[in-house]
Amino acid sequence: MSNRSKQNASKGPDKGAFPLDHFHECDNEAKQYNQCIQKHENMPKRCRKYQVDYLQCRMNNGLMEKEDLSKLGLGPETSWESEEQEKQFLFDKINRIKTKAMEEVKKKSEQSNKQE
Amino acid sequence: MFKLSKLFYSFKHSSRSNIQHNLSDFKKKRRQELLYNIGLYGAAFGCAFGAVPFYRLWCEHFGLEGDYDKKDYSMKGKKLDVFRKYHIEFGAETDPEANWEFLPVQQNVTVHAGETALVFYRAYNRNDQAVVGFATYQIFPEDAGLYFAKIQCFCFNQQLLNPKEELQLPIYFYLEPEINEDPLLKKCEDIKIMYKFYKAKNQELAQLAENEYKTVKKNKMILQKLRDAKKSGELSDGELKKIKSTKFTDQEIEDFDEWAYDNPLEAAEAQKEQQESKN
Repeated sequence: MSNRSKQNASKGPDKGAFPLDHFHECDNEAKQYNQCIQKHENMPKRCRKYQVDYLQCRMNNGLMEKEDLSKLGLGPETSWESEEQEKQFLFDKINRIKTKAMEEVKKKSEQSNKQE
Repeated sequence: MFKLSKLFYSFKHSSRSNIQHNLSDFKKKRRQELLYNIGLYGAAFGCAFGAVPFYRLWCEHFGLEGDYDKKDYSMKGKKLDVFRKYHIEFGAETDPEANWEFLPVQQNVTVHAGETALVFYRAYNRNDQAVVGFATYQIFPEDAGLYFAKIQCFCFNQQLLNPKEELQLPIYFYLEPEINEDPLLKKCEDIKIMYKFYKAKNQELAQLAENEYKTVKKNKMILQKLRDAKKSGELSDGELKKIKSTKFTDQEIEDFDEWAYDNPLEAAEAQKEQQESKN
């Protein structure tokens, strides 16, 4: 454990520190993001739109390096919709397996009934 | 035998013209060798320079990503476990010396490994002077600290907050996908991150800000004087110099009405209204 904690010596952020928004240029976007997150049970994934808005506002006002949104991990693969779709897909799969299993159980019980 | 005779022959026949010819030949050979050497060293140098983009292309071709300038946070090649969520709580501590309000806007967030998330802290400077602060953080459990990657935040850097200024401080972070495979963190669902704001020992930034503010005010006062003086007529060089080098006391600097200087028309209107209301 102690070995690990030495490795964990906190290092600085990748892109350096965020310059402070002294002129409150992006305060509106921040407010909207905070409101959205309150509504959606504190899951940042569901408020991606406002997150993107805020970061773009920062980029436009020179408070952040300009960069592709997909490079920042905000592409469509990690969106809330794709997560819901995957959830639905897995749920359907489980349902199918369950119905199959129930059918097999029925068959076997009928067979055993017939034997008797 | 034959070699000896050859030597004897060349020695005998090395007349003056022959020597000259040999000399020029010698020089040519040496020049060739020189050029060859220069070319060799130049090529080696050029290879050293060219190795940098070549290495990059090579890595791209074979898919060996490195940690150079533009890091990619899109987690392209990795399969993310979207359903294993981590509940991250944010806490804040302030230095009692600094007299700030420092709180997280979002008390807790639910994310999965590999997802980039944005979180805000709110800071309010209750002082009448600018204060320079410095933020650090701690993570519990400690093993999870390995995987907490920040893209950008407000920590590890001196931040200046103006008097009575409220700011939203963002943190842009993600948890590395490798956290899911760590055997020590198998049962870990909750992570707590504690930010602490210290007053920086070195308040130079704040001092610089104050001095800058004062010089701007002084300049405005001098310009105001010039304006008033020009109304009465043209100024001589001597008078100009005098006005430019006036010294103001601290009290005068504080009492100066900056708004009136910046908006002369509106200030004149306000003055008229005051006079009318007096009458």
